[in-house]
Amino acid sequence: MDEIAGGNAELSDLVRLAFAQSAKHVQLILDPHGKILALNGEGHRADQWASAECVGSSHELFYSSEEMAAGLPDIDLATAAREDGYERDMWRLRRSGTEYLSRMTITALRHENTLHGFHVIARDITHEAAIRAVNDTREQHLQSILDTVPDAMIVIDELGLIVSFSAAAQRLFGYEESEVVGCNVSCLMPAPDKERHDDYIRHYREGGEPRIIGIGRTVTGRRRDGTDFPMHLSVGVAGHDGDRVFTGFIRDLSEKERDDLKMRELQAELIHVSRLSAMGTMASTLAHELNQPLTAVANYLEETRDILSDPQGTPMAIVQEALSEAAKETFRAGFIVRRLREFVARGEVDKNVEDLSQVIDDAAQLALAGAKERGVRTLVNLDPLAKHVLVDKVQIQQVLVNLLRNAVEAMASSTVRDLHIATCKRPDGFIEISVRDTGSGVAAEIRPRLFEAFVSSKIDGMGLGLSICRTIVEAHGGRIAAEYPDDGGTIFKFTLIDANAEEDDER
Amino acid sequence: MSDGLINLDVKRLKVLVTDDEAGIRRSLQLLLHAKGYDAHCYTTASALLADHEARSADCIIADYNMPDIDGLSLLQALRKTGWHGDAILITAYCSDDLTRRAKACGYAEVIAKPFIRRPILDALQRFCECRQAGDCAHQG
Repeated sequence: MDEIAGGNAELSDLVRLAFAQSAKHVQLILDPHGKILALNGEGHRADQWASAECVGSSHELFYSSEEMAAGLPDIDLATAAREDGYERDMWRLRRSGTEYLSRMTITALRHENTLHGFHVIARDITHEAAIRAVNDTREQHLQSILDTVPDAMIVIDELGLIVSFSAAAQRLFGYEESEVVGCNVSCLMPAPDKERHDDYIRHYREGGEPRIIGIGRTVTGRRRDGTDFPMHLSVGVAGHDGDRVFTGFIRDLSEKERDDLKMRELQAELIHVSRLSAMGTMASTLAHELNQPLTAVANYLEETRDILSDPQGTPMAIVQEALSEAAKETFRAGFIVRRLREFVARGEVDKNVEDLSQVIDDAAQLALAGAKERGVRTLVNLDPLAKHVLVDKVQIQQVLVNLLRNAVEAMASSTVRDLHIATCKRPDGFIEISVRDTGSGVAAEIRPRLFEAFVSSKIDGMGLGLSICRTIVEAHGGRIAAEYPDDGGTIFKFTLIDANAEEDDER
Repeated sequence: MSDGLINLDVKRLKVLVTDDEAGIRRSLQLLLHAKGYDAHCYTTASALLADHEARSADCIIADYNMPDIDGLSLLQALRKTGWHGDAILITAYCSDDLTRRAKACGYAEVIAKPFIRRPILDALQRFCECRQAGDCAHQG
C-alpha cells in the first residue's frame, strides 16, 4: 500500500473504485476498535446494509448472538492484529436477520508499527459448502457400502498398478495390501490373462469395445499360494482420460460353484435313481411285452424247421414269409430293449429338436405296456401345428412315463378308464402337453404340495415322481401344473419350448 | 439460465427457515441450497416476520419452540399479512395435540426432530409437484 500511496492520484482513485465496486466480496474498513468506517457496494447488496445505516456502528452487527456472546468480534480483530491477517469461515448475519456462510479475511492495517484499523473481506461460500456437504455425504455413503459389501475390491490405475486392496481382497488372495500396492494387478491372475491384461487396458484406453467394464464376467484368480479359483469380476471406471481409476469388485465363486456342482450331481443322481425305480416297477409288464415277440419268433422258427425237415411240396414263399415275420419280431423285441436301455441310461442334459409325436409315442409304448389289458382306453389328440420341441428326449420321456403311469394307476378302481393325451401349440412360443385321466383325483390336502418331494398319496410311493417331473420341466424352461375338472379325474399339463416358434415369428 | 452448478431453468422454490438452534438452521441451509432451493435462514422468527422480502416465499420451515415467537403464532401472523405459501413445522416435542393444533393453524406438515432431512425434502418435493400440476389453490 505504500506503493499505491506513491502520489499517483489516478491510481488511488482506481483503488477507491476497486474497494467500492469489487464484485462478490463484501469489504469493510474498521477502525482499531472495530467501528465501521466504510462499507462497499457488495456489503450493501449481500449484507443488506446501507452505508449510512452502519457506518459508525460496531462490526458486531455481522455476528450472530452466539458468537457475540462468545466474544468473537473482539477475538477476531485481536487475532488478525497478532497474526497480520486472519481467515475463517463464519455464518454472517444480514440486516434482515438471515445468515449465510462466508469466508472472512481480516487484515490489520499498520503504518510504521501503528495499528490504523482493519480491512475485512467476506465472500459468500454457501454454494461451495453445500456441494462439499453433499460430496461428504456421498463419500460416507460409499465408504459404508465398501465396509459392508463382502466382495473384495481392488482399485487400479491406468497402467494396471494396484492403488488400493480391500480387507476382503486381502483375505481372498492372501496378500497384505502393502505387498501389492504398486504392483501390476496381473500378479493376481493365471495365464493367459496375466500376459494380456496390459493389452486389455490399452485396448479400452484407445476406445475399444469394453470387454468387462459394465458387463462383469467369471474369470480365474490366482492366490498368493499359487492356487487358482473362479471369481466373478465386475469393473467400474471413474475419472478422466489420463487420470482414470478402475475399481474391480470380486466375488469368490469357488464355494458357490462347489455348491452348485454338488446340487447338479445330486439332482442327476435323483433323476437317475427314479428312472431305475420306475424301470423296476415296469419290469414285469415289459417282460410280458418282450415275451410276445420272442414267442412269435420261436413259433416261426419251429414252423420253418418243420417245413425244412420235410420240404416236399411246400412253396419256398411260405418259408420266406415265416422267416421275414420272425425277423420283424426280433426287431420289435430289439426296439423294446433299446428303448428301455435309453431310458435307463443316464444322459447328460442334451437338448435337441425332437419330433413331439415321436417322443410321445415312444414314452407311451413304455408306460402303457399292459394298460390295454387293464381296460384303459387311450385317446390321443395331437395338434398338427405342434410339431417340434427343444428337449432332452430321454428326460421328457421320463416325465411322460411318470404322468402316464400315474394316470393308469389312478384309474385302477374307476369304471370309466379313459386316458387322454393331447398337445396344443400356444401363441407364446410354448407347446402344451396334457395328460388327463378319469381316475380318483387328488386329495384336497395334497393339492397345494403336489409337486413337492416326498408328498405322495400312494401307499408305497416315495413322492418323488412329480417333484422330478417338475425339476425336469422347469430345467427345460417350461411349467407343470395340475387341474381338477369338476367331472372328476386329474389333468396334468406341462409346457415345452416350441422349436418352430422362431420360424413363425420370422414369417 | 444456469449458474453452472444449479439449474435455474425451473423456478427455484423460495424456502424460508427459522430455528433458534444454529446447528439445525445452518445444516438445513446447506442441504436446501444443495438440493436447488432458494433458501433463506432467519436466526429469529421476529426477523422473518419483520422482513418484507419474506412475503415472496413459497414455503416456510419453522421450529415450534423459539424464544421470541412460537411456530404457530408465527404462521398466524404471516397469514394475516396475506401470505398463502406452504408451511412445515419442525419440533422436538411432537405430540398428537401439537400436530392437531399445527394443522388447524395451517401447517401442511409437522416433522419430529431429529430426523428431519428426508421428510423435509419429501414434503418440498410434493409442494413442487403440486405447483407444477397447478392443482393447488396457492401459487407462489
